[in-house]
Formats: sequence, C-alpha cells, structure tokens
Amino acid sequence: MLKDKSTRLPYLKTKRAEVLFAALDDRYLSFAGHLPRPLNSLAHRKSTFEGDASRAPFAGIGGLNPVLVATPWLFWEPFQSLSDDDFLGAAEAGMFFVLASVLQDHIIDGQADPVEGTNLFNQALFNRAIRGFQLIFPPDSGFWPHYDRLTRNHIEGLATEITIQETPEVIDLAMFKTMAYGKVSPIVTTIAALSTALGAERFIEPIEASLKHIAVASQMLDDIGDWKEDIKQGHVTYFLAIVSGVEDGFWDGKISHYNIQSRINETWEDVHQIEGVIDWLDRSVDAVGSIDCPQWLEYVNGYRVRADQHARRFIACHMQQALRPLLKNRG
Amino acid sequence: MNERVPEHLEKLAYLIGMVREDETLQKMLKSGDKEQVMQVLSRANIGEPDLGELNNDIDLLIELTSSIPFWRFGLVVED
Repeated sequence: MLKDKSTRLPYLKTKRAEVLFAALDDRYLSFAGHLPRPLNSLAHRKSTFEGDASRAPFAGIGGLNPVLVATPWLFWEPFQSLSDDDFLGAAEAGMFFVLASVLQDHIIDGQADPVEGTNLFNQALFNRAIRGFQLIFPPDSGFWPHYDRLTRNHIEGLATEITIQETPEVIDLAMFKTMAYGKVSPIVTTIAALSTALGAERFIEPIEASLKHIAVASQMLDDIGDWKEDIKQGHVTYFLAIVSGVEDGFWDGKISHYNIQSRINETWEDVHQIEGVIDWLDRSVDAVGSIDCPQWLEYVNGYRVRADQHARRFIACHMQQALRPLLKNRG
Repeated sequence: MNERVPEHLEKLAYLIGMVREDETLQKMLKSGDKEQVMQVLSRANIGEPDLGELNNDIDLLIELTSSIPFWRFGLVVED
C-alpha cells in the first residue's frame, strides 16, 4: 500500500517508483526498530542526520535531501529496468552506506550529539550496508573495484577536512574539491551498485562526474550561507579563506565577523563565489548530457534557480551599500 | 526576476542583471565614487530623484529573497 508521504515527493513519477520508495522507507524503519537502546532513539531523531538542535522525530527517508538516499529515483530512467529485488537491494545497501557517511561527517566536524551513540549507530549502518553489497555482488564482481576506489576517495575527503581544520593556512581549491568529492563518494557508490547490477557500468562515469560537480557547488553554497555561523564555531572553510585573501597572501588566520564582512563589502567575493556555484551546477547538468534523467535535471535546476536568486540578492546588497553615501548626502 | 518579486521591481531587476554581467559596472559601484555610481544607475534610466525609490525597492527585494534557503547535503529540501 502506498504511503501518503511518498506520493508527495516530486521525483517519484510512477506508481512503481512510489511503491519501491515506500518499501525502502519500510526497510529503514524495520532496521531502526530492531536497534538496541539508545541507537533506536537516534535512528528516529531528525537531528541525527541533519546535525541541528531540534528534537523533532525523523519523518522517514522522504524527508531527507533526495541526493542522499533517493539517487536511484533521481536517476530512475537508466535503472528502472532492474527487477524490484535488484533495484531495492542496491538502493538499500546504498542508503545505509550513505546514512553512515552522513553520521561520519557529523562526527568529524563535531556536530554529532551524542558522539558515542552516533559512532555506534554509524557502525551499525555501515555493517548493514556492507552486508547488503556482499549479498548482491560476488567477490569477483566489477562493483568492488569501484567500491574500493570510492571508499578511498571518501576517507581522503574526510582526512582533508581534518587537515584543513588543523592547519587552515594550507586550504586551496584542490583540497576543497578533494573534500567535496570525498563527501559525495558514498552516493556514487549507490550508482556504481545500480550500474553494475544492470550490467551498464557506462553510466558510472557521467553520473559520478555530475554528482562530484554538484558536491562542489553544494559545499560552496553551504559555506557562503553559513559563514557567520562557521566563524562562531571556529570552522574554517574555503569561502572564509578566499574572502580573507589566502590566494593573495593576505591570510593571517585571524578571522572575525567584522573582517570578513568588510572584505565581502570591498571585494564582492560573495557574488563571485555564487557565480562559481552556478558554474559547477551547469557542469553537473552537462556531465549527464548523454543520459535520460529528467528528475535529476529538475533537481539540479532547482538549486540553480536558488543560486541565481542568491546572486541577485548579493548584488542588491552591494548596490544598497553604494547608494548609502549618496542618500546621506541628499539629507 | 522570479516569482516572489513584484512587477514594479522590474527596473531594479534589469539593473542587477546588467551589473551582474559586467565587471566594469561592478568596479564602478565598488569605487563608491558618486559620479561613477550615478553612471551605472543611468544605464537603467535611474537618476538622482529616483534614488529614494530605488533604495526602497532594494530593501523590498532583499526582504523578499532573504528567506531563500542555502543548501547542504543531508538537509530537508524546503520549498
């Protein structure tokens, strides 16, 4: 039976897509329901995955950003010819793998609360994911080289994040990209699983490229939107480093709200960086030009529209700043 | 400009679009020099008597677009 929450999700375009998504949600809830205390509480709490302070209940996987666990549906057309069992098997293992990576990310950046329980829940999710992949793919399957490569990228990305926080002066675009690519690698693993199960590994490269580009865009967007909070948390980001002038040799590691706001006013770096976000989103679309994936394109375009609105808002703020002295002089 | 912005802001939307595409105009605005700022505004047929209205329009635009969420992996997509 279909669930109401599934029917509202815009990326579920067919009845079969809705039924399979509801089945995946049930699998998560069943897994969560069998966890021991206090992990079962964490599994049912929204903040576990979103890193915020609210105590709201987890509303199911349909409440997550679809890029996390709904990529099989965002790329429905290429993979819909898989049987229900094969589709769900890959989607399920991928879901647990990605959710584990989300928790790992929170643990690394200090957002996990409580950290002990989150660590253990991460382990439970990871174990379940690996078991899932092992059930689908024999040891000599072409999936495993992709798995090895992507898990390496993931670890490298998280390690880079740690390095940046420990030695912020070393941050550059290459490190920023390594970090973003690493964070998206578990999601690419789901695509590798679906592609291998279908015998269509040709899908991996373009979709991986598309996901990597959107990962860079999203990380940039996140850093632009959160810079005030990042300063409060002492969290160094590429955006803060760029605004502080790391590439021009102005970086002294002393970041303050006043200094950053002054530099943004002076350089319009918020505008330049948001234009960069739009460029990465366009690359994400271009990468999958040979693949029929309307839901994915709709998804990427949704963020492109938002990034465009931000760009215009930033310019409006700078224009207001330029007008201020003129209005003052008029009395 | 987008579905949230009223029609009367079209002139402002045009100005913003123009500034966005032209780094020279951006530099002129950044300069803070009155003449250069007015030169930019004149491209959208905005003169000194219109400055107050323009400022109000910018205020409105910023207010209307300030709640657009930023995106990060793992967060709910809110529309």
